[in-house]
Amino acid sequence: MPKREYDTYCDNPESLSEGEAVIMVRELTPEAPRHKYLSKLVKAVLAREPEKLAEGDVLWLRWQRGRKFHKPWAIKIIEELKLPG
Amino acid sequence: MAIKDSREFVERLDKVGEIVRVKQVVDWDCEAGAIVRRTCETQGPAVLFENIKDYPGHRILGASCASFKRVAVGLDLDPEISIRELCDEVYLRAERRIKPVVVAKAPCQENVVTGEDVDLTAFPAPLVHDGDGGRYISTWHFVVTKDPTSDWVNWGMYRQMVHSKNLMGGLMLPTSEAGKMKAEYEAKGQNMPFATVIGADPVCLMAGGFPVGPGISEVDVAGGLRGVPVELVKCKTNDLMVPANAEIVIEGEVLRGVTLEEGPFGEFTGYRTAPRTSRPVYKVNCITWRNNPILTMSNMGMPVDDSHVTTVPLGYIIPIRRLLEAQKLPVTGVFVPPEMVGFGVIVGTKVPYNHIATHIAHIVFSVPVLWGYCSKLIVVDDTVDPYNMTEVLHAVATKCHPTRGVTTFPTCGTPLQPYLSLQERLQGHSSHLVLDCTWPVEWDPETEKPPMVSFKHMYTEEMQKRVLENWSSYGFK
Repeated sequence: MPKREYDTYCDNPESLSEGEAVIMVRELTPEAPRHKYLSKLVKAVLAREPEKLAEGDVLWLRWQRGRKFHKPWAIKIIEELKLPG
Repeated sequence: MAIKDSREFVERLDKVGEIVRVKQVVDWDCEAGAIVRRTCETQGPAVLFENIKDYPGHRILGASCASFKRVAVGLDLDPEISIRELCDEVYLRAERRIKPVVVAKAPCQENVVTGEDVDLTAFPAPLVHDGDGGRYISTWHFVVTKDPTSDWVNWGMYRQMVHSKNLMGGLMLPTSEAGKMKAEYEAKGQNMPFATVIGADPVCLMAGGFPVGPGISEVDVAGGLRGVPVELVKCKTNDLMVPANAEIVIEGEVLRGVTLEEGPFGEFTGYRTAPRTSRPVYKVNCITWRNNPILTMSNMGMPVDDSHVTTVPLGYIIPIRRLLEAQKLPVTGVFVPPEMVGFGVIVGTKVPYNHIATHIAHIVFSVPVLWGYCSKLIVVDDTVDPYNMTEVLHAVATKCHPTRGVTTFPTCGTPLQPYLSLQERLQGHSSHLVLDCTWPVEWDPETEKPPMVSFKHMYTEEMQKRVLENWSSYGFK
């Protein structure tokens, strides 16, 4: 089964912290194409090297102004949180 | 005859060859955006996408007002009207405001969903630029909000990104009209009701982006521009009024004290300047729409796009000219060139006294809705046509003294100004710049003021007449 893909924006992909975090991600491979790019607030484990989180999905990183970082991280979503509102 | 809706506008553009109907499948995920951007950058026609991937029955109209010619069509004017005449006509019409009328039944409410049935993803919001923070459903639209303590209703073009089926995010600066209203609602502990109007008639869409000033309702300006009142209908879930012939209306409330990450977004400045950050959240309670709706979109970026030929040269001049005329300054023209994306204004004036440039600057920069955007002012004398960029650039190069002709003073800025440092953008620091391209009044015309070397100034009237009369016989066409 192919891994799911997400992305998130950060100040500097080089200095993003690994480990557990609450972050906002965008879903890139949803079952319904119309749901691509929707916001998800998640509690997740992040890893710089995908092999360190073998059961994780793909997390692409983007700088704050949108440029995509060349190398993806891994993400394992523990819990999807409710968006405020 | 005023154009009643987006559908009639498409027909009118068709008649003058200013629109392409795309019948092949186009992806909302960047492809539609790339096409609209390309047509803007090549001064191409507007585009109607009639077959959008994942969205049968929906259409997207892009770059509909991205040229002065199409704006003239939208205003029911001669498509070949000059820019100066267009600016004058818009100013005169905008200042003769006409109140709207209310109707009971409206095409924009042919379909209605509320509450749990609301689903923003049912509409083909495009991912306009690769790397944008999300799908932007609102890029050529306006957001209706009401002042909590008066009858003033504001229309403003505040971008909106889809977060989820019923949440949107957007940039709403505290210096903007809606931003100030939101602060007042929040002080009372309330959410701010809103209605987003997508696909209104072209004049309402233009007026929605015009910074007409606090206390003035854009719907009255739209009425003046159209020459007939705008027909409004009451929203289904709040008391706001929206144009009856709009294509899509999103009703809801801007949540008090709630923010989510929004952006980045390719902006009218030609850059993606403001970073993704926490911004206001719109909760959607209801969506209404016409059958086979047309979602209007703009792809803002490098000039020239819709905002550069409507909001900037036509909208900005309204409050500026109003204030300059009230002061009875001897102004010969006001122009905001599309290429200056709203960050620069050119004013032509007679020069009865020294430092009239800074006098004009204090007035222009006092226009509240331009704070943080318009930061540069070029003042030229009455020998220069402010609508002619060749003459203006020549005046900047030859008449503006590099020291005495330049004035700067600090002011507030916005995250959208590309020349600011990241810290300045986020903390709101900026400056105003005035380029005085007029000769000092005391300069002696014989010894100090240089005579202009041009056909008009270097030859006797007799010689000019002779040359003009013989122009074709010399062999010129």
